[in-house]
Amino acid sequence: MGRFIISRTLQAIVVLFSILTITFFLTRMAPGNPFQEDKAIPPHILAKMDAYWGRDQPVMIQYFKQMGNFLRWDLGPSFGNKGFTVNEVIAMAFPVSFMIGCAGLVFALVIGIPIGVLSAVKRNTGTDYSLMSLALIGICLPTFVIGPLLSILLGIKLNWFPALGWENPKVNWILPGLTLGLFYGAYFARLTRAGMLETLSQDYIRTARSKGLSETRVVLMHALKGGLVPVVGFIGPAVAALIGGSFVMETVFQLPGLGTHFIRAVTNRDTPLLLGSVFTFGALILLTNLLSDILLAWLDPRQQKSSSRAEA
Amino acid sequence: MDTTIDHIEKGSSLGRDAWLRLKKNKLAMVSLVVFIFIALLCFIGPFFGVQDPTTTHLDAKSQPPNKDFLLGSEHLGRDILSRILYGGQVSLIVGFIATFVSLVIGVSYGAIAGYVGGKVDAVMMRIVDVLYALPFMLIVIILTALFSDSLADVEILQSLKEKSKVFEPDLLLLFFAIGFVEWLTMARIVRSQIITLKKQEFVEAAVSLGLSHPRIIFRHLIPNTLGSIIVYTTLTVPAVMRLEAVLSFLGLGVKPPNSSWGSLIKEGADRMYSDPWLLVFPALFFSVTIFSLNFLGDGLRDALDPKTSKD
Amino acid sequence: MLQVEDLKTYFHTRDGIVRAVDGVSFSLEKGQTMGIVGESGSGKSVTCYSLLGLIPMPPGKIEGGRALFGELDLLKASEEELRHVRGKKISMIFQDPMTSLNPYLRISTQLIEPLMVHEHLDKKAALHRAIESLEEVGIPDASSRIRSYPHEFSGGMRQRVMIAMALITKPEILIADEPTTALDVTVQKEVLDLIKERQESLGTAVIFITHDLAVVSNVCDEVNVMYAGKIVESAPTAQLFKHPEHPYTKALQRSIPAMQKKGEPLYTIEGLPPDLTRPMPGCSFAPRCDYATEACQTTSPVLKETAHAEHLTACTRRQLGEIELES
Repeated sequence: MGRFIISRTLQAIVVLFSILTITFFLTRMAPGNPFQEDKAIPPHILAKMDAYWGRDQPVMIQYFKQMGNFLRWDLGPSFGNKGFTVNEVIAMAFPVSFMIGCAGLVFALVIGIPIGVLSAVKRNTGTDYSLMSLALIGICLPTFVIGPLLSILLGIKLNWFPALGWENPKVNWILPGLTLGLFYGAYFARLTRAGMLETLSQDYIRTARSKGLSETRVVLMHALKGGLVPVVGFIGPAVAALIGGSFVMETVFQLPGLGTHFIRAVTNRDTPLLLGSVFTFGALILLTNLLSDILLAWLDPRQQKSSSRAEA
Repeated sequence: MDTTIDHIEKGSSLGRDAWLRLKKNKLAMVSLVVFIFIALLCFIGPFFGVQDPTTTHLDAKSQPPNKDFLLGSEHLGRDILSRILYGGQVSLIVGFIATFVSLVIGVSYGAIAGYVGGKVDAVMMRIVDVLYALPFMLIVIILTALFSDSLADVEILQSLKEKSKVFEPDLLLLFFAIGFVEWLTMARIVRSQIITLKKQEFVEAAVSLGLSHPRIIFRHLIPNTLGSIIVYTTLTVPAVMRLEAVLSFLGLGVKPPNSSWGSLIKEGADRMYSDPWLLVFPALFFSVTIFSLNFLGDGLRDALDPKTSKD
Repeated sequence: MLQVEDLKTYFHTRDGIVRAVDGVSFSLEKGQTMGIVGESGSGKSVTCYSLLGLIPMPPGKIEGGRALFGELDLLKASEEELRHVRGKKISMIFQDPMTSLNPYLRISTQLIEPLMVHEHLDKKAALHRAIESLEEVGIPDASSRIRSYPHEFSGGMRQRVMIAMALITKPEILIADEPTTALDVTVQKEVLDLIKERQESLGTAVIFITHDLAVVSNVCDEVNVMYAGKIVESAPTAQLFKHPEHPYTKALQRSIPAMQKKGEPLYTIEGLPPDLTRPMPGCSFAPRCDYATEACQTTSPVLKETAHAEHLTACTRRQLGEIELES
C-alpha cells in the first residue's frame, strides 16, 4: 500500500508539473499583454513595464524563474490585483471555492447514495421509477439553471437562506453547495443504484439472506460496500467537475472565489495568478484522485492485494 | 474476394432490428420527435416571420410574453424567441461539430490502440488514464480565453462569418477545445470493442487476403463497432452542449453580439429577479434538448447494445 | 420433522409462466440425509429456496402447497418468522464457494453474524465459537486465519468455511445445494466426508441437492429424483440403485461413467429437458423416454407406491407392469 501511494504521488507531481509547463507556454504563445488596457499605452511605457516585471527576459529564463517560485511557494505579485501577491489572492479566494465545493460533494453523497440504495432495493417499483426520473431531471438540468431557480425560490421568495454574496460565510455556502449537491447527487444516485443492483444479484447476498439476517442488515452490511465501488471511483472525476461547477456558482451567486480570479487571470494574461490557481486546482484534483484510489483499495480487499502486487 | 467480405459484414439486419426495437421504446421515440422538432424550429423557424434577433425595440423593452414578442423581450427590446432560435443554432452546431471532432480523434485513437495491441496499446491507454486525471475545465477555459481573439483575423473565417448569421471565428476554437477533451471515453470504448473483434474469423480472413492494416481497421473493424459509437456519440452531444453552455455562461464561449443558449441563460440569470422569462425560456429549450438527447441515447443503447439485445 | 406437500413455485417471466416446481411432496426425518437429484433446471434448487423464502419475488411466486416445519408452515410464514428459521434452524450451503462468501468482509465478520443475530452472543464469545467451528471443519491455524478475507482462501477451504458458518448455530436441517460441484475432484470427497462427519456429530438432517447420482449413493439414506419440476421417483438409496422404477432414473444411472463397462461408449440421455413455460398433457419425460408410448404423451402420470412400500414411481407403464427396468 505504501509503495502504491508513493508511486501515485510521484505520478501526480509529474502531471501537475506538465500542466504548469503547458499553461506557461500557452500564455506566452497567446497574443495579448497583461498591461494592455482599453486605451493605448505608449510602446515605450509598455516596454518599461515589461522590463519591471521581468517579461523582457528570454522565455526559458522566465519559465525557470516561475518554476523556481513554485518550489519556494512564493508566486510573487499578481499582475491583475494591484498590491496583492498571488499567495494572498489564493489565500483569500480559495477557501470560498473549497467550501462550496466540499459542501457540494457532501450534499451530493448525502442525497445521492441513500436515493440510489433505496431505488435499488425497491427496483422496478413506483418508488424506483419516480426516484430515477427525478435523478434524470437533476442530471439534465444544468447547475446554471438550478442555481438561479434555488436563489429565487429559497433565497428571495421563502427567504430561508441568503440569495447571493458572501457577507456571512456561515450561511452563504448553503445555496451554492445545495445546487452543486443536487446536480452531482443525481449522478451519484444513478451510480449507486447500478452498483447496488450489481451487488444485490451476487451469490453472497443469497448466502447472507440464508443466514436469517434482516433485509436492512443484508443491504447495509453485505451489499453497500460493493455497491459503493463505482461511486468512489467517480469521486475523482466528480471533484474535477465540481471545480468547474464552482466557477458557475461563483458567477450565479456572486461569490469572491478563486474561479472568478482564475477566469480573470486568463483573460488578463495575469500569468503568476493563472499558474497559481492552476496549481491549486490541479493539486486538489490529483489529491482527490489519490484519495479515491486509496478508498477503493480500502473498500475492496481484493484490489488491495492486486494493487500492492502490481507495484511490487 | 475483397468485396464479398465488405458485403457480408455490412449486414443491414442489425440496423433494422435496432430500429424496430427503438420504435417500441416510447420514451426514446418521443425524445427523437422532440429533438427533431426543436432542431427544425431553430434552423427553419427563422425563415417564417420571426423577428430579427439583433434589432432593438427601444419602445418595447423588457416585455413579458405577449402577441408581438411571443416569449417576451429583453432590456434592449430584442425578441427572445428569435434570440433563442438563433442561439439554438449556435448551441446545436457547436454540439454536433465538437462531438464530431471528438469522434474522429477518439475512434481513430481507440481503434489503433486496440488493433496494434501490445506495448503500443499499453502506452496509448496509459496516456488516456493520465489525461483522465487532468482538470479539463481549466484547460478548455485557458484555451478558449487565451486564443479567442487570435482567430478573428483569419480571412476564411471572416468570409464565413459574413455569409452566415451565426458563425463567429471563435466558434472554431470551441469546436476544437471541446473536441480535444471529450474523446477519451470514446477511445476506451472503441478500443475494447476492437480487441474483441480482432479475435474473430473475419479479421483473420481479411489478414489472410493481404488487406492493408488501415483498410482492415477502417473498412472491417470500425463498421462493426458502429453500434457503440452511435450510442456514445448520442450521449456525447448533450455533454458537449452542456460544456459549451457552461463556457458561454462564464463569458468565455460564445460572446456578444453572438449568442447561444448558454449565454442567453447567463443574461437571463442576471435579470432573473425582474424579468424571469429571460431565464425560464432559454433554460427550458436547453434542458428539453439535453433531456431528449439523453433519453434517445439511453434508448439507442438498449436497442443497439449487443449485451442487452442478446437476452 | 419437515413435511412438504404439493409445493408449487412458478416464475412469471416475459416468456410466460415457468412452472419450476410443480407439485412436489416429500418428508424429512430427524438426522436423515435426503438427496434430491436432477438435471439443472429440474427445479431441485428452487424447491429448497422456496422453503426458506429465498426465491426472488417477483418474478417468482409460490402458488400453492404446504411445508410444515414443526408447527410452522414455511410457505405461509411471515418474513419475520422465516428469518428466525433461516440460519438458525435451517441453514444452507451453496454451489460456488468462490462467490458465496462476501469478498468485502472478513471471514470472522461473516462467521459470527448468525451467532450475533440468532443467539445474541457478544462479539467476543461469538468470535470464540467461530474459531472453534473453523477448527472443527479442519482449517489449520484458525485463530489467525479467521481474520483473512475470502479471496485469501482456496476453493475447498472456502467451502469448509461455508460449512462452518452454516452449522455454527447447530441447525436441525442443513440444505446443501450442489456443495461439491464447483470444487476440484480431489477436494470433493474431503468436503463430502466433512459434511457427513459434522452431520453425525451434530445430529443434523441434510437435504442434499445434486445432479450427481454417484454423490447420492455415498451420502444419502433416501433419494428423490426430480424431472421438469416434479418428483418422478422416490426410494431408499440402496433400493433405488438396485431396482430403479422410472426410466429417467435408469438413464441417469447409465450415464454415470464409473458404473459402465470399460470400452463401451458413454451413455447420454438424448434430447433436452422440456420447456417449462409450456405445460405438457402427458409425462414430461416421454419425448426422451425409450419406453414411451402414445398413452404416455397424453395421460399425466401420478407418483404411486410400487410393490415396495417406500418406493414410489411416476411411470405409468411401470405401475401397470408393462415394462421391466433392470439396472
